[in-house]
Order: sequence, then C-alpha cells, then structure tokens
Amino acid sequence: MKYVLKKLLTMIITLLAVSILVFFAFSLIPGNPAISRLGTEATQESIDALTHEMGLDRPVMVRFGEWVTGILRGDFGMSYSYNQPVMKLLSQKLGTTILLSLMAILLTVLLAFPLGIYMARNSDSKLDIALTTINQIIMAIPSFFSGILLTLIFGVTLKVFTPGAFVSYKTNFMGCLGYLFFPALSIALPKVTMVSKLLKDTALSEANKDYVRTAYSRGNRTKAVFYNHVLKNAMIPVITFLGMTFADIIAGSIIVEQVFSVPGMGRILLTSISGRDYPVVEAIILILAAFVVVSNLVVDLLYHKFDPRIHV
Amino acid sequence: MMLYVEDLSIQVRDKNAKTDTTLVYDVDLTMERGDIVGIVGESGSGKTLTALSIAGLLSRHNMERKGKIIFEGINLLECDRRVLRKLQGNEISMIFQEPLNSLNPLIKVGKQVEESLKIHTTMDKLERKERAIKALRDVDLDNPEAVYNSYPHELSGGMRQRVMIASAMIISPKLLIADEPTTALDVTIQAEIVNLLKTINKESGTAVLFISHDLSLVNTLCERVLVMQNGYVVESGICDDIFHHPKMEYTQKLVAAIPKNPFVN
Repeated sequence: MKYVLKKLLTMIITLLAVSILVFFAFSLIPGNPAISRLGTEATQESIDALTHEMGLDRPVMVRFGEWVTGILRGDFGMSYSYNQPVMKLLSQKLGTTILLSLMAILLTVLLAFPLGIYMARNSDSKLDIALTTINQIIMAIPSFFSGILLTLIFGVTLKVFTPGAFVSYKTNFMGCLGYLFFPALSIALPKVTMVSKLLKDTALSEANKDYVRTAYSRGNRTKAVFYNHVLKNAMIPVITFLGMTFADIIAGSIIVEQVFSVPGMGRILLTSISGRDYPVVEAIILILAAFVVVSNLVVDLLYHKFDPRIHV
Repeated sequence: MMLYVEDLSIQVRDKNAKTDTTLVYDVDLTMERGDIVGIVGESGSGKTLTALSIAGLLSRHNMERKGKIIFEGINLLECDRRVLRKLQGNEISMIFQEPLNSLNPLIKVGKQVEESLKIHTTMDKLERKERAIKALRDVDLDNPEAVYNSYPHELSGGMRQRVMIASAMIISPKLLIADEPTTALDVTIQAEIVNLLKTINKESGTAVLFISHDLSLVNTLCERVLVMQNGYVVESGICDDIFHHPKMEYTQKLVAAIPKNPFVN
C-alpha cells in the first residue's frame, strides 16, 4: 500500500514536471497564436487587440497558474482555432485513440505470447527458423507502411473493410471495433515481433539456469518445466518491455490514425501544432504523458506481483 | 546391487568442428543401499559429469554416453525418458553446489519442496503441505511453517541448502546425489550439512553419492571414495586406506593439500 502511494506521488510529480515543461516550451518558441489566427496580412492593432483578448499579454507565471488550476478542475481552457473548450473538442477523439491503443495492446499480448512460447519450445525447428525470419522482416516495417499494405490488401482488394468508413464507438460500438481492427493490427505487428522474440530469447536463456536442472531432477516433464518454472522467470523482462511498448503504442497510434483516416487525436494534434493552438497541444501532450505514467505504474505493480525479490 | 556403473564414458560433440572430446573415461562404481560413496577430484576431473549422468540430467543432445548405469535393474542410459522420469525425484534425487541458483527465485520454498510429491504421488494439497513441513523440520530448520511460505532469497545459504535437501528427501529416495553441496557455504555450515547428510543416511537408509573436491570432507562422511583426475578414476577404495596410504601420486598431492589446523600439532 505504501508502495502504491509512493508510486502515485512520483506520478503526480512527473506530470507536474511535464506540464511545466510543456507550458514554458510553448511560451518560448517563436510564433504568435494571434497571428496564426488572423493571418499574416493582419494589422498590428488587430493583432494586439486579439493578443490582449486571448490574455497572451499577461505575465507567463499568471497564465501558467490559471492553466494548472483549470486542469485540476478538468478544464483545459479554450481552443484558439476552434473556439470550443479543449475538453469538449478532445473527448470523443480521445476515446477513439484510447480504444485503438487498447486494441493494439490486446492484439500485441494475444499474438506475441503464443508465438514467443511456440518459438521457445520448438527452437531451431524449421517452423521456428521460418517464423524468426518473418519476424525479422516485419520488425523492420514501420506501422504506417504496414497500415498502407493492410488497407491495400484487406480494404481495397479483399474488401474486408471499407477504408475511410469509420463509425464512432458512440453510434456503433462493434462496428467501430471492427473498423479499428486493422489499424490496431498494423500498430501491433512490429510490437508482436519484438515481444515474441524477447520472450523466446529470455525463455531460452532461463532454460540454462540451475533451477531448471533442479526441476528436471524432480522428474518434471519438459512441458511442466517450461510452464511452471521457465516461463514465469522469462516473463519479468517481457513485462518491463511491454510497459515501454504501451507508451510507444499510444504515440504510434497517432500516425496510424492518419493512414486509416481514424478521427482520433492524431489529426487534431497535427493541425493544432501547425495552427499554434497551444491549449489543444498542451492538453494532448499532458494526456499522453499521463498514459505513459499510468502504464508504468501498472507495469511496476505487475512486476511487483511477479517478482518477490522486488521490495516494497 | 542398487547402483552399478560400468565403463561409463562421456563425450561431448562439437557440432561445428565435428570432433568428439572425451571428458570421462571408463568409470566403474557400485553402490548398495545405505552406502555413502565419495567422488573427489579437482574441477574438470569429470566428477560432476559422472554424477549428472547417474541422475539422468545430462543433456542428450550433445553428450554421448557409453557404458552402463544400472539402477535397480534398469539401464538408465538406454531406458525410455518416461521410465527415467519416474525414477527422478522419486528414487534418485540430487542436490547441487549453489543452493540459491538451484531454487526457482519466483516460487515459494514450500511449493518447491513438495514438487516431487505433486509429480509422483496422488496426495492432495493439504497432505503435501504437511509432508513438506515435516521434511523441512527433518533437516533441522527452525520454524518450518515460516520457511514453507518464504522465497529462496529470504533465506541464508545454509538454510537454502537444507531446503534443497528437504526437497530431495521428501519421497525418501534410494539414492541421493550431492554435487559439492557445501562448496558455496562457509566452513561452520559445511560441517552441519555434512552431519545432516550423515544423519539422513543413517535414519532413512538413503544411499549418498557425495561429490567434492575436499578430500578431508569426504573422509569424514564416506566409507568408500573414488579419486578422479582428467576424466579417469585414478584410485578407489576404502576412505581410510586412501586417506592414510595414498598409492597414486595425484592422491598423495590431494592429501598433502589438506590444510593443517594450526592449533593442533
């Protein structure tokens, strides 16, 4: 319990640090949101007026204080370019991105574990060599490219899904899941190859350890030795890697959303960056940071559950 | 005869060089029930390989074994894997040099001690736990219930080796192979473990094959000893004879290498 509290505290500190960094970074970089809104032809008077209206002429510390206290109340401010509260603008897009990421995570775990276990248990068999080679190739293909390939094969040629015909999870949940399957798959594919390779390699190196010999000396069958002894130990580095992968998946989904025209946070992040719509960008970065921190917490807790040597 | 080893040779195959290197040559060994036999030799002498092959733990892929290992009428080198597995942990069990590495770090000690029962008997959970706690008590561990519920890293080196002995002895095997069980422990605990093995042998009648590089330790525990060097058995016989009247030059050197107690002249 004390461990969880400690972790929660570091989580809050991390997020605070991220918010400071994000806010001041955007205050420092050149470019005035008022100019982006009015266009380069605007007169100095109208720019000054809008700057004042947006509150951008006030001291940066005051604006930061207002921003942080707003967030604590669940208010991320107003979007400059959409004239809407950021929260309202993001809420549905956020849900879509989260759904996509969760599906990608689920697919990664569901595909990587059986594959890794199979390759470890049948290492150096012909199928293992073939799978390792295929793994190596897929590992080198970036998600957006495998996304294009999947669209071409399953969308255009086989017509399993209709590219661009995204339905919101609010109107048709199953339909939305169906549409998100291929984007999730293209995010998951490179992760599957990495996780399964890591699982195979750690399982094989664990298999040479002394406790495995002890397990055999008790009359265990190879299968029992693998599942009861080796796999448990091989899971520890895999969990660590999965934690890092989850953060990566959320960031990766932003690009893949573009390929499959999924209206998630990806597109709005890109338009907001080019339009200097800082409140939106800042909110998205904070939300992504929160994801990373939470997934790290989950990994730490899992880790703790798996490995009794890690002390509370 | 319980165990009869004849002309045991072990070769390791190098897949790339396509050459075989012989590591153990023509070992002969016999043991009756209740015997305590030692194998002494420096590292690389082939004593551990001999022990592992008797326990059926040499990897079959790159180790070629010739000769005979007959245990209770079954040739362990030729029998089916299933037959061998029925003996392992049941009739033949083994303890190793590094008790920490030999225990699974993620599984509670008790579950590891009772694993042989799970594999070889039909006992239910409660019975197994009862037996495991008794086994832990039999190896002189205080508070066996607490030990049962702890993880290997929470115990001291001596306690871990006792746990290993408890797990090896839980089904009362006919043969216990101890491969340098005291090497990783400090001297006072060494003596305790050797005494424990002696007691176990006396009380349960389990034969002990004790592998060590320490001739004086073998002398305090064993009746008979095999001295190995470079894969050969160079001398074998009654412990006292060999200890006091070593015939071979190598054995003489081993005896001379035993440190003298500076306080006893």
